[in-house]
Amino acid sequence: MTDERKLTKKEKKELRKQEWQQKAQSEKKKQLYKKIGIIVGVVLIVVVSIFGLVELANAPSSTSSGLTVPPPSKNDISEGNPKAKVTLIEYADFQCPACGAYHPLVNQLLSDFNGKIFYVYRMFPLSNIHKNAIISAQAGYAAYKQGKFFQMDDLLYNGQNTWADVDDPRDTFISYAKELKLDINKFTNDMNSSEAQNYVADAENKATSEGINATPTFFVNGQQIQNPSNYDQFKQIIQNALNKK
Amino acid sequence: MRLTRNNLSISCLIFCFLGFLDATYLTILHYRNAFPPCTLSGCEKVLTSQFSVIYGIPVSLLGTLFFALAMGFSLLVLLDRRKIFAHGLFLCSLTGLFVSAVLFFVQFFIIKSFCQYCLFSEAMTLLFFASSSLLYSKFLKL
Repeated sequence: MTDERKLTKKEKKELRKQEWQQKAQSEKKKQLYKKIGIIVGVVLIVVVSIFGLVELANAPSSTSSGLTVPPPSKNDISEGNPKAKVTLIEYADFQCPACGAYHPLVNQLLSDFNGKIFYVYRMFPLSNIHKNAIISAQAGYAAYKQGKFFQMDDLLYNGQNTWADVDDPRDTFISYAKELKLDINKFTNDMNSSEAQNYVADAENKATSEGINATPTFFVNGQQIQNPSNYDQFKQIIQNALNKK
Repeated sequence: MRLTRNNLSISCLIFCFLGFLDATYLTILHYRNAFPPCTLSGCEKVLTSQFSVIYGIPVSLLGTLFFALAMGFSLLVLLDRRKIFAHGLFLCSLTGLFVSAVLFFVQFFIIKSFCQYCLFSEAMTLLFFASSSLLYSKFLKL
């Protein structure tokens, strides 16, 4: 107190100025730390979220047993060994982009599990949203009549973007039939026949009555699976089914 | 909630963060050749359409970059009062709104299907634009 009394007015002013500067500096530092804290916090949240999303994208699909579908019959379009340990049934629509995207995965499975999978293709043309779903299914049926369904199936899916939105894709399908060296007259007649129309309509009705409402819908040994996110997951589901027996 | 500059910047940040999560999820799935669970009919049609990729770059990746940039601007506006960042944020949200409107019309008129992930992203862009406009008006009054 005695020291303070001895300070001159100028010194007191200087002291106050210094105190104020110190306070301002510490406030500035505080603000800076706060800003750094916010930036670090946001960056951390973003990084953690990205990791979370990667995990979510990798999450294995669980099987769901909501629907039951008839076992494979002689009328089904199928490939592989009927006595194989695993039966994979797919309900699909040639004009469905997701079916087109799953198509190479199914082919890869059939190649990787050669002889161990019996694959059944059931038509489920989503005619209300895909204008060429029915006629493409009829083209598939016409190729089936000449024993080349799965070759036609490859061409239909691979060329999906070419014919999906055209008004009449028949010429494109005939060009596919030529590529497969099919009997063109028979193919054209079969594609337009009432037999093909009935087959496709019947397949659509059956799928609807079984409760199928989306494509592709897969069943492994009669149990519906949630569509796998990638090939490895799909492979794992088949492997699990093989290991079960 | 009072519409202060801080609250509006935080709103921008939150909407952009949600949009960022959505777009990043789709980008990850795109590069894994995988599909998200779709509840809307035709969702897969949108995600696999020719419009989902521009010159080999998935639209979802562009969305991720856009939302990351928008988050950066939101942070800058939150932490620094300089007008230039508010200009940047508003311009960013305006661009986002325009692109979102185009993508919405593509879904509605050309693909004729909707994807819930795309709609969510468009909704976030709209909310981001609304917040950033309010924020910008406050900056202009300075």
